[in-house]
Amino acid sequence: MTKLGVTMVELQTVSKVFPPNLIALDNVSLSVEKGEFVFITGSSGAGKSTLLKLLYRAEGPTQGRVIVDGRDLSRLKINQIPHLRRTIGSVFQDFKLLQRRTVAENVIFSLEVIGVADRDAKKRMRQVLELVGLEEKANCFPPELSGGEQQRVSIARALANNPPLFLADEPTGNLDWSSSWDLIDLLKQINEQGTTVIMATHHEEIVRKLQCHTIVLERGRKVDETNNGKETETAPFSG
Amino acid sequence: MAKRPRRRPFPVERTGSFRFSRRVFAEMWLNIRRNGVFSVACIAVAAISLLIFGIFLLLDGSLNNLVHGFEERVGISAYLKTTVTASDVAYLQAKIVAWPEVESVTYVSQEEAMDTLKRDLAGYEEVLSSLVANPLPASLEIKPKNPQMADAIVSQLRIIPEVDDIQYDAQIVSKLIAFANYFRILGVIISLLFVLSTWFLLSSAIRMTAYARRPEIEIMKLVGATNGYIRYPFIAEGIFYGLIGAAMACVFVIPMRSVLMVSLQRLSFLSQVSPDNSYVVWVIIVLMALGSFLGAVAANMSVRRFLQE
Repeated sequence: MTKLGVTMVELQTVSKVFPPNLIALDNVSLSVEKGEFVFITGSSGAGKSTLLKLLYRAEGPTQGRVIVDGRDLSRLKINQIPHLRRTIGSVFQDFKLLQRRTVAENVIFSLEVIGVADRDAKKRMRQVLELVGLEEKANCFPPELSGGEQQRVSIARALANNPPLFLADEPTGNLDWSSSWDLIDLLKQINEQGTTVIMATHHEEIVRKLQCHTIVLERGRKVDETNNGKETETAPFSG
Repeated sequence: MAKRPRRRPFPVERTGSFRFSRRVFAEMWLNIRRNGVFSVACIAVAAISLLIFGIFLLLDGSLNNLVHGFEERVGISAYLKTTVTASDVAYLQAKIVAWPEVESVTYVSQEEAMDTLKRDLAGYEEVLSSLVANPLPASLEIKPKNPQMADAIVSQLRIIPEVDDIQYDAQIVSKLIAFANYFRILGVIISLLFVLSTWFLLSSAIRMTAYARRPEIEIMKLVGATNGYIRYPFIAEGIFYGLIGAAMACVFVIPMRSVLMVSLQRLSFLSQVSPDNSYVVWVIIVLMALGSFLGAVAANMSVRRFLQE
C-alpha cells in the first residue's frame, strides 16, 4: 500500500433522505485513506449503494459534506461531475456492459466518450484486458462470457482511465463462489498498485477473510468500524 | 499476471473538434437509420407543417401587397357647388386639412378637371369638342391618414353646405384590411397547430432514439462523458429532421409562388400583387430557421430527461 496518511474519501455527518421520509443514510462520518482497501458491509437496504452513489455524485447528500480526493462534492458544479467520474472507476452487480459490442469495443467505448484518441484507446484496451486476464476474449460479445468474465470486463473498463479511486457495488452479487474469490484477488491486485478500492458487499466471509478496513452499516447508520487492527474496536463477526 | 500498466496519469491524446463533429454526425446518422420509417414520418410531418406555414406567409405577403396597392389610391373627392368662390375654397381647404384624420387636401379646379379628362381620353378629345361650357365641377381631393378614417371624414364633409357630392373608394380597402387581419389570425392558428404537431412528433422520435440508447447513455455518464457529448448527436438528429423537412417545404413553396403570380396578377390592375423574389428568399430563410429551431429544441427537451437521474 502506498501514500497512507492522505485522505481519499471523507464523509462528514452525512445524511441522505429520499422523499418523503426514507432515511438511507443517517449521520454517517468516515474517512478512507489513499491506497486503502475498504469494505462497506451491511444487509440489503442498509445504505451501502447510496453511500457509493454519493461518492460518484449520482446523488447529493441531504446534509453533511462528501469530500473525494480533496474535492467537496456539494460545491461541485453540474458540469464538473463528468470530470469527477473520470477519476473514479466503478463496477456493479449487473456489469453494465453493452451487449452488442465486443469486449474490446466495450472498453474502447468508455475511453472514446471521454475524448481519448483511437490509437491510445486501443493500446490502453490491450493493457487493461491483459491485466484482468481476458486478452484472449477481446473479440467475444458479453453474452458469450461467464458472469465472472463479464465482471472482469467491467473492471477492465473501470480501470481504463487509470482512476485513483475504484468503487465496487456488490461486484460478486451475480457470481459463484470461486469466481467471487478470483474477483477479490483481482481487486486486491489493483489495490496493491496504489488504487484506493471501496467495495460494498454483504458477503461476510469475504470481509472476514481479508481483514481490511471495514465499515458496517445498519439501516443507514454506521454501527461498527474495524481498521485492520489499528482500531481498538473489534469486528462483530470475528467469530 | 503479466505486465502492469504504467502509473497514472495514462498519457493520452485528447481529441479535437473535428473528430468530435465527425462522431456527432456518425451517431446522428445511426440513430436516424435505426428509427427507420419513423424518421421518414418525422420529415414528412415537418415538411407538411412548414409548407402550410410557408403558403400562409406567401398569401399574407400577397394580401399585404394588395392592401398596400389600394391604400395608395384611396382618396375622397368632395365636389363643390358652382357657387363656391375662391376665398371659400381657401377657407374650406384650411378647415379640412386641420382635421386629425386628414393627410392632405388638394384643390382641383374645373379647368384642371377638364385637363385630366382630356388626358384620360387621349386620342378621343373630339367627343368633348361639342361642349359649350365646362360641365365638370371643381373638387377637393382629400387623402385620409389611413383608409379606416375615410368614413369619419365623409360624414363630416356631408354637413358642409358648399359640398355638393362626395365620392370615395375607401370602403373596399377597409374591408380588405379586415379580411387580411382575419386571414392572419387564422393563418397563425393553423400554423401553430401544425408546428405543435411537428414538435410532438420530433420529440417522440428523439425520445425513442434516446430510449433505445439508454444503456449507452448510462455508461457514458458513468465513465464521465460530458452532457454535451451525450446530447449533441440527438440535437443533430432533431435539426436534421427539421431542416430536411424545411428543404422539402421550400421545394414546394417556390412553384406555389408562380401559381400565385399567375392567378393573382389577373386581379392586380393596380400594382404587383404576388410577392417579389426577396420576399420568397425571406420565406425560405424563415422556414429553414423554424425547422432547425423546432428540431433542436424538441430534441434538447427530450434528451434532457435521460440525462437527469
